[in-house]
Amino acid sequence: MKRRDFIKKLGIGGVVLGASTLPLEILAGGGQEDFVKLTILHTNDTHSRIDPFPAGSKYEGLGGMAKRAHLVKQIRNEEEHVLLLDAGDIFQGTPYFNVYGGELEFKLMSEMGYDATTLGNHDFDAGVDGLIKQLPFAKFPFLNANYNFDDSPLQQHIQPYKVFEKGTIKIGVFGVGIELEGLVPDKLYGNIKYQDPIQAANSTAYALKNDWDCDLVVCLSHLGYSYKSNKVSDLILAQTTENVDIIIGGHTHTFLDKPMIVNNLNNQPVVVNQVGWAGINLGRLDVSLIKDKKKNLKKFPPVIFSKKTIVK
Amino acid sequence: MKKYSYIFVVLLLLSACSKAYLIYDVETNQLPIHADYPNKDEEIESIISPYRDDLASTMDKVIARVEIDLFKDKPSSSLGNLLADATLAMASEYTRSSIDIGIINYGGIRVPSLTKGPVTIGNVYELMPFDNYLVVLSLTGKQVQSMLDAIAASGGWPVAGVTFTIKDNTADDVQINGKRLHNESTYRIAISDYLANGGDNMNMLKGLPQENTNVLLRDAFKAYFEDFSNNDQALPYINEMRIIK
Repeated sequence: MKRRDFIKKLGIGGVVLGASTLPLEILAGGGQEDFVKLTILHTNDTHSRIDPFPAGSKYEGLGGMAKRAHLVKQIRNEEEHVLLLDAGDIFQGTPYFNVYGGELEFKLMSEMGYDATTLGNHDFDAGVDGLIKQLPFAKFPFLNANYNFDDSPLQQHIQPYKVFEKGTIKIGVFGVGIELEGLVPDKLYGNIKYQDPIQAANSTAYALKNDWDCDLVVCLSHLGYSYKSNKVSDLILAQTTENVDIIIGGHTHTFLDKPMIVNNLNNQPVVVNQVGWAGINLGRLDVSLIKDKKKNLKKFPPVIFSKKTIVK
Repeated sequence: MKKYSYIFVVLLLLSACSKAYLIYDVETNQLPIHADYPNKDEEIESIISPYRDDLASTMDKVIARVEIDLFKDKPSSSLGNLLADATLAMASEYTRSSIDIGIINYGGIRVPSLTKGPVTIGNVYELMPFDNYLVVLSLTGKQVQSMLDAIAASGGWPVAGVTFTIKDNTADDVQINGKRLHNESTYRIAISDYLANGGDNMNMLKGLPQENTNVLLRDAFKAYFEDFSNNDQALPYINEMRIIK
């Protein structure tokens, strides 16, 4: 169903919503020009899986970058505003990385038009120097807001966030990474200092919303989806921050049937997603935004009003 | 795309901030790249192609040969003996020092056998896909006993330089280079950094100082194998039972 049709239907009252406080008249009152749709496509932990998994393996035949690229291109043909994002661990997992050091991964992601990625722990597997050596092949930024690169040669190559403009909307994207100590051998990550990702996320997201006037803030996280311990994860990050709308996660190779919706510090919903690993899946989030003409939408609480499985 | 089912979650998000636009809803999909996904992007394919061909030529390079099938098994096996010997010998060569024991974890060998015929670089990657480094630990006899007990409890792993008998899930009658293990002596152990960091229940090794050869175990195996072919020899078939159950 097309977004506008859906909204129209909603306005006419074709969808029964029960006892919600949904501002139907406001939504129905908007003209077509008041709605913008952004399609976010995402991957995580692609781990040098250039070709589909080989015969005999658990995931035989799944994934493959040429197929993913075709799918991305097809969606770009259908949608006006598309962001293609990745949540880190591009490196390591097949001989393509062992032999070519990651250049092919970056070349292909550049050709596919990736807009941004963040740093995963395995992206340090060839050391900071090994990563820098391959960066000329990456035509997309690496975002991280919680590593201090002051004493690292990576400093000039990493930015905390990037603001994208699609049509009339602004999207702020930033990255957070996992504690490297104990996970990555010291000499591989050098003098990069890990800082609290929650603090970094809060201050970065605040700046994106308030200083950059972003309509939507997306966090690329390599923290991991969740842990049995109280170790910081995407679910914890979602609960303990504000101004983050979407968390695209990685590291734990988590396959989710559907994204988790978590309420943040302000009791506002945050979409937390992760799509397994190795490019087995491409995540897709279609975000619809509405122009805040009357400045009064914000007083209505969020309502999850539909959950269904459809076959396209 | 018709045959794929998508989970649709539609929700309403109303941002707390008063921006130009508010999030109205988010529809979420997961698009699987199935084996029967019919199309490939030709530009991407043309970038991959030369790498794939070059990789195949690298991976297909023959570096050694096997004359008698080598199998992986517990408590001891011909393939396990070969790789444990390689671990010990290469650690000794890289550190220019004498090494007493070589250890590999059973689960770290990722193929069941190396069968008669040529051995390629690709075979070595299949055997050891992980980028584990070859490291050396100096252990007291007591620590060695504790490590071997854990190996005995899991049914026996590939070892070199040491023999023992599994008795009541512990290592009994431990002999190192034919001599009884002494609790107070120091022994030098060649092992992967994965195990030395406590992996595969090697908790007793965690935190101990490591001497890193900075050589990947896979590259060490490769170099060891190449030494045989440089001398025009097949990989040795060593069928001795270093661990007895």
